[in-house]
Amino acid sequence: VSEVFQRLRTSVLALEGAIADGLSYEHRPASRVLEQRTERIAREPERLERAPDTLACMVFERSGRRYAVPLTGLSEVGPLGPVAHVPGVPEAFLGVAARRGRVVSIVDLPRLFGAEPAGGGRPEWLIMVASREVVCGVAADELHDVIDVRREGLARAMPTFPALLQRHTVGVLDDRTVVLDLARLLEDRTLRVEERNG
Amino acid sequence: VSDDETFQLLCATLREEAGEQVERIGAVLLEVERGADGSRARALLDEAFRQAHNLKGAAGSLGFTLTAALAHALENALGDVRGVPASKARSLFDVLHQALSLVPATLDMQADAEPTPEMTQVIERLIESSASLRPPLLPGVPTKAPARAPEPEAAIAPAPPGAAPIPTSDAPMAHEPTDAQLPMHARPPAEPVVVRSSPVRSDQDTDPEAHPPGRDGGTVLTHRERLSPPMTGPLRSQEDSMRVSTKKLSALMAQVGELLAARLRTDQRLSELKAILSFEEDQLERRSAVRTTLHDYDQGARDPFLERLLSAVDEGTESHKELTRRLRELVRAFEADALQSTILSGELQEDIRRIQTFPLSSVLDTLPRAVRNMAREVGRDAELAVSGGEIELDKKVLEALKDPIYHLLRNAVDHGVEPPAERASTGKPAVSTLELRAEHRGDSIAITVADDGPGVDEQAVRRRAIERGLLNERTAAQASEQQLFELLFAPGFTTRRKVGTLSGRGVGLDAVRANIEDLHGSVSLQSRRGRGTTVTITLPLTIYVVHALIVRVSSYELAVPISSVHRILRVHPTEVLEVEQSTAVLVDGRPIALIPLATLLGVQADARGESERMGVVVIGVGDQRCAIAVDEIVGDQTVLAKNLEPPLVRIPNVAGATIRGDGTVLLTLNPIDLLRRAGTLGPNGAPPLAGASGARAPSRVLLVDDSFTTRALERSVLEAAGFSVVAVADAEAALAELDAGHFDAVVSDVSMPGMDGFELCQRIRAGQRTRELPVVLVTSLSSEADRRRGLDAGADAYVAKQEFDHEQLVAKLNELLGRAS
Repeated sequence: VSEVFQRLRTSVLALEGAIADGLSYEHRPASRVLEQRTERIAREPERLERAPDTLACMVFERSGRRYAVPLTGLSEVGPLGPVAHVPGVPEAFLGVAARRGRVVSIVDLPRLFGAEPAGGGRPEWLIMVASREVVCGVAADELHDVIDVRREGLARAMPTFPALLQRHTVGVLDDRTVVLDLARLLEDRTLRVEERNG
Repeated sequence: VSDDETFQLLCATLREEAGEQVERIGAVLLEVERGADGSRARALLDEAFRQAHNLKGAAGSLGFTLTAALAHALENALGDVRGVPASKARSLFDVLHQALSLVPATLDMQADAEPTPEMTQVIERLIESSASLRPPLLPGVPTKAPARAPEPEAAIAPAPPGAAPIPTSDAPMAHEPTDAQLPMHARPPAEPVVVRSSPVRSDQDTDPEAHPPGRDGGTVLTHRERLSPPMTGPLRSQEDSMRVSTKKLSALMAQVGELLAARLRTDQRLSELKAILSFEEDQLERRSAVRTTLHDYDQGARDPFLERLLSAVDEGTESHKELTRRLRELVRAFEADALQSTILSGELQEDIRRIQTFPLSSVLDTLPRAVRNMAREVGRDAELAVSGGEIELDKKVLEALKDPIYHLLRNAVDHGVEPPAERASTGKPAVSTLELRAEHRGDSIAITVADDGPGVDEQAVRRRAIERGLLNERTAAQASEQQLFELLFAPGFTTRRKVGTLSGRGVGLDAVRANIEDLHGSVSLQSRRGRGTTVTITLPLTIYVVHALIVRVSSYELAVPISSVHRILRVHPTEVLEVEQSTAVLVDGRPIALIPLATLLGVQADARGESERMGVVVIGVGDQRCAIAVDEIVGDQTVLAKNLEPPLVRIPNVAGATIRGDGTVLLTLNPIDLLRRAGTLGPNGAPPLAGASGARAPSRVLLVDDSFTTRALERSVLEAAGFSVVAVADAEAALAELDAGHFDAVVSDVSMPGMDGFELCQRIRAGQRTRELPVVLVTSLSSEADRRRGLDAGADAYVAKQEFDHEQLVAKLNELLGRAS
């Protein structure tokens, strides 16, 4: 320990001397580090290398179904907090949750597309979309990678898909992941709950 | 605030708004000229058209007739320029810009000032340039609208038949077909007001020689009627002010909401800290007791180890005392800080709320003139007395109140003002006085609209209810006065046999109620035969902070606004009465229907022991009461009301939500919905027996119209005729609805933003599932050519809005659906 302290003391004294002489002890290494940093920053970012028809999408899973959604439509991804169930709304709405001071609805995509309720546990993640018309979240059990999806490599929405899913499917990947235009899907007028009693 | 001051404030607001409208129209024109493509250009010009229309309405309502005239000419020209490539309308764009630059000057001129020759010339050039763009629709019809009315000598002449008056902001835009939508031969002359020829005032900074006065020279515009109070000169608000968009203020308010939520969290932390203090105080007490016991031990018998132990205990106790003392101080300081922060955040919230509030007078002050004109329209004499205009309300609430109050006044003029002879025969003053009064009532505001007319004819309501199948002979005879008055709020209900200019379509009161309930308010009606009718709107004073009772049913914790809670009871099962297969509890000696909240919400309630008392909350709005049984009454809390975000726009029984200190969401119940739901349940809370009467399910109609008012009107007409209606605002949404569900017919407008009704019709005909679906087009395009185009697009029927008759629409739909009407 005393050796370490001795080395530290020597370094500090040298630094003190250098500062007194108007030189920074780190002056020479700094220029090298800065050069390296400049080189790194100036490197053309990977995103620009992406083909123009490529979408960066986040893949997630819910009730055993895989979906990919373009990153550009997402406002936030995070753990799903407490959800308050709302009586009288379609079952595809799991409930409402507080998000940045707003009360937003949480949608279960498989239920929205007509699947029976899954026996699995509570979803752990929340994928938020904030568009001009809606602020809404989608529940996810697992988050996977961010992938680049080439539009031309996508299969088209299957004719057997429900109408809502067909309308907002960008395409289907070979690993059965459905690429969705999530913002447009959540803005779909048929999703709006606007009812009165009586 | 005096009338004059109010008028000056309104003028200042108009000038600010007009400046923005001029800027917006100018920007649109520039973008179109710079080559915006077809659909974009059309959308832009539609917007400019609306801006000009709004400017015209606002200016006309405050007596700025020159501005209104200029805006009208702008509006007409913008209507004509739609559909014409910008390259072919260069000269018109020049004149449009010139006209825009004149708008501010007209707002600085006195109300009775004559237009400058430049204004006259610009208006004429606008008329000529836009007329030259119109292609002749029918052979032999002149393409150029007459430049001036045919009576040059009349200083104030009656409007020519068919001429459109300058609509003011009192006349909603959606009611009227625009000139651009009319075929040429049906268009009114392009001038907004009656035109006469007279010498042009030459005291302006213009050359009289260049614009010779008289018939062939300057055209002078004059009012159809003088508007009071007259302007006394250019008016400008002297106060330093800055315009901030409401969006920014709302964002600020949301942040304050967050601050309040954080405050609630602080309270929770304070409670936790107090609990720790209490625990430590208990521990200290125990420790002190142990210490005393040890000290009481016989001193002679103490060995050094015990002495050391005693010393350690003393030291520990002292530290514990010190810790507890500091903790207590911390709690006190925390309490003081929390109180201070409560006060400050409350004040901040109130200040921001006040920034967003405006006096009711900003809505009410234009109404006396509107009432006078409405009464004249139907040959009556009426005045409106307004009081309580100084009460301030949130701008959003004020905006939402405009239409309902206007509807109520139209109803009051039409139903509550007798013809002069009838008033004379009953000894009433010749001029009827309507009263519009706003006042504070506890934590709410009441706005009443009262007339001194004949009152509601209960027998007529009974007869009409029987005719429409709402009541049978027996129930009609037994119906109480209040039950009969409630029928007046049913969609499409009217006692009028004929549709009048002002009312009689039965679209007023139900729309009023819907709008007010959206503001978490309620509407009720009282009437005395021969004495008059009073409609009362009750609104919560604040829509942000709600004192609520928290109840639990099943796994749901829910908030009930205290303002609607009349009583909280603990009821033993033996106290529950059975009345005609319904359950009830006695409240103040009167049986009140008792319904489990779980039944109202459609959820499962907890199982309850037979002798267990249940929590009961008696809720009431207006004269309606209902006792709702809950699993637990949790407590009360002041909550910050928030709306749910789309797509959950309007959920039955739910008014909104609040975020609690721990981040969970608490739903706020809507008492009006709950009462209404209670009214639809059968005996013992069971849903009414569907199909028990053998009645078939109502036909499902998809209604498409971009105008809110038209949608509301047509929806109520169709619902009153027994159709189940889904209404959407555009053709794209209509196609999505058709994709998602089954419909028996479509009723669509033609002129809509984006896809129009013709194209929608074609798309429906092209669809595999929808090709046989009956489609009725309801439109203001009434020419034979339009009708043919509609039928060619595949429409089964074509109803012109000008001759809109709800019976015709219903009959046509029944015919297409093979229903007995």
